[in-house]
Amino acid sequence: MVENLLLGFREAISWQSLGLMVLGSVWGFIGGALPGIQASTAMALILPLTWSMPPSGALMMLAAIYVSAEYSHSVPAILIRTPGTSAALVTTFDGYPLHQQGKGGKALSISLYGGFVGQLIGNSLLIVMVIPLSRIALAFGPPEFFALAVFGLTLVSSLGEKSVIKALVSSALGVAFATVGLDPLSGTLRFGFGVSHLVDGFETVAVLVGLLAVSEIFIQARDARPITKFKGSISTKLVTWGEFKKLLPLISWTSLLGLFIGALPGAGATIASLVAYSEAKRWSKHPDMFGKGSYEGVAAPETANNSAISGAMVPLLAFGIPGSGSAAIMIAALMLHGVTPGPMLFIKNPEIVYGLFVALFIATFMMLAMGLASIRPLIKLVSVPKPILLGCIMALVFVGMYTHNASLFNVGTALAFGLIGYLMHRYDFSPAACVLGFVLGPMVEISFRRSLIISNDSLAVFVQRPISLVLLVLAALTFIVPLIRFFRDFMRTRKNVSA
Amino acid sequence: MRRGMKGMNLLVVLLVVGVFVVTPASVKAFPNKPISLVTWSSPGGGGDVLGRNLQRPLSKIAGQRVIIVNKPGGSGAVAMEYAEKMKPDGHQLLIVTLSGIITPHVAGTRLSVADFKGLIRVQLDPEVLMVRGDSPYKNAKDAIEAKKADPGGIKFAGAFLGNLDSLLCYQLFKAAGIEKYDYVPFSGGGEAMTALLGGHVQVLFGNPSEVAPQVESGQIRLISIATPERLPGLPNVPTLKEQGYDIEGVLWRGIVAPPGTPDDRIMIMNQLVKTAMQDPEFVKYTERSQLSDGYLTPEQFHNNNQKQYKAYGEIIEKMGIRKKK
Repeated sequence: MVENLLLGFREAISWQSLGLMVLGSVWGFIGGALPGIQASTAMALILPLTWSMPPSGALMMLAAIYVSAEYSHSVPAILIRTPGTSAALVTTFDGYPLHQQGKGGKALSISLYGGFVGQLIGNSLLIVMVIPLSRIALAFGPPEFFALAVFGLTLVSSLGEKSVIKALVSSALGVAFATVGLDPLSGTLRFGFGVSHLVDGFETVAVLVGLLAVSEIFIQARDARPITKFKGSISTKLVTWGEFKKLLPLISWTSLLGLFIGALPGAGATIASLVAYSEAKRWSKHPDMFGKGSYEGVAAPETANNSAISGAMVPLLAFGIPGSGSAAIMIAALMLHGVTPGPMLFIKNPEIVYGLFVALFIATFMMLAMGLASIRPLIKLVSVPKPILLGCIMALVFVGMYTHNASLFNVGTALAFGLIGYLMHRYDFSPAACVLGFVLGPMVEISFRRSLIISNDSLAVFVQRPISLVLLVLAALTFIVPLIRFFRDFMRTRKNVSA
Repeated sequence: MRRGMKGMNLLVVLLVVGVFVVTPASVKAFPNKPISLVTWSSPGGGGDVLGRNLQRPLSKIAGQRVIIVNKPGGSGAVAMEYAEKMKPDGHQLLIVTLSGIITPHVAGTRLSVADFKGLIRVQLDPEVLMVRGDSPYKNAKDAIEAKKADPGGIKFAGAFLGNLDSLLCYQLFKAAGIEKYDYVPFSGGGEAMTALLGGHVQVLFGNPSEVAPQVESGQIRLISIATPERLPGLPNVPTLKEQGYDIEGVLWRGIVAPPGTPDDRIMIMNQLVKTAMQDPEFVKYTERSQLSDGYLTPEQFHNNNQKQYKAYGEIIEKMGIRKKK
């Protein structure tokens, strides 16, 4: 093990590898910070260039992109409430209110340090626990995925700022949008309307960016006076050690959570950040602060989505199976070089495996450096006059959407969903809940139907299997508690009114 | 003076351009422009990897740049719509797979690979049945018998319904007399493989190229192959035919040209790609990915596509998932 790690160090500490990693870090940072470019897109754009690199160098560069993009996506989420990826969705709930209170620097630094610690814990555990972690991943069959997705979806009931009912309706709408496209279980095309782009359904990124980013630009454009300067105090103060120390226990267990969920193929950073957020809220001493600018609300998801990267390496290394879209690109890079990822990699190419481990650590430090250097300029940047800022973001969104598939259809999709998001916002429906429904709906539906095929149409399968049972009970609690609170408050106000 | 200079420049430019325009086509033979290979795979997908492995040898042989254009989306429909409108001058080609024959029947999209002109079939990615390394089944017959004994307990799985995996499973069940078609469809190869390794399903359809590392490490065992003969690279894997199931299924990849491309250019291109396929690097890629040479001439490939379009249409009709009239 130590010998192999030394081998990994030798592989990673060379001018070429370090150079590639710096490039990867910078590109990942920029890509992640642009709304509409996800870590996997940033990596896919670079993939053809890795052709001429040695396989381990290519892998290290991709790892560096992956790591820094999973931090930098929180920048637009916090500063302009426009998350470019679904993994940063919940970061907006508390990050943006913090920025509005003039604590943007604190929010960004909590996200950075949380991600840093999460990544360090994740990487360390990854190195010693690949095999046990891979067993956990295998225990997740269709019923467990169903239960996990349901659990994620129940977060909806705590999303309704003004009305729980409207949040539920919003998420149902998201589920409905997600039904468009070829149904993988029956082979039927649903709501295709003869449009060839719709055969695979709406592109997730386009829907997400439309509902969350484009709609936000519309809202802010409506409210912006011509050439107004940013009012309110601009503070670039970072989080203090005293403040951060209080978050450390939370950060420790959300890193574990992220690592485990990241290790499940198909779950990934989005579900990791969602579950981390809702669990942080459940166990918090100040759950009422969530959604209004809670430090915990930023730390939990941002830690989990970084440690989910380490998790995603588990199926990649143990079975050669992609655990996320980004991991799929890493596998593709290895395949392009004739290296087949999987369990034999440990024996045949230890320099690649251990090089990757070391590279993940180095990339984590690069992410930290880049984050620290950029927080202040970024906060200054978003205080330019609104019309200019919004115009620039809109242009970036268009570029990002076009780049994703080189298709204008995605640009149109993002615009259309931007309008839908704007209207939802106007009438107090929740675009965030809609995105949640869109992302998790298909997972709920398909793993439910798949479970039934496996169980010969018996619903008992969901409660007979322990992991699925526990997750479903947790989901029920998550869903019901805010509802009870909502109705209790509702009754109380009614009583006060009548009295 | 300045205006005069501009005029001079313009004259020179016109002359240079003129030389190229009036040069007869016979002087600069085909191909005389960069070649673009469009694929519906995203970077790293099967068609994309084929394209990138062809890129270097083909550009060396053709003396032109080769560009890979990814047009993912719509299960290939987006790329086919795009390719139909490409200039039919032999420089712009589409990398296709068997799924471009099957999926249009299922999804009801307008175009299929059979609507293009066959140029070359490049490689074969045979369909196999696999089980977990510790499974008692030695061949497809064992697995089928086990399924008959315990229909609810033994599950066959593979990619989404309408994929070649699902068609093959349907045919196998029919041939073996298994009534209920309780095939478990997965969205991606990764999910399906985790389900097999985790014991959530017992038999999986797929391609050996996807599972080479798992087979090597003993986590997964191939128990049958759907080719007419055993493959030289997999001598111990029996064919379905040997066991009395007359079923074949091979995923192929090839290149087609937009309708209207002249036959002589298609022939030239076929020869260029054929030569590129013999490049040692390309041969190495074919071998290590457990693929095999699937060369067909333009005519053979074209006929194959027409025939398969009809044949798979009928199977999909029987399965009751046909959309296209």
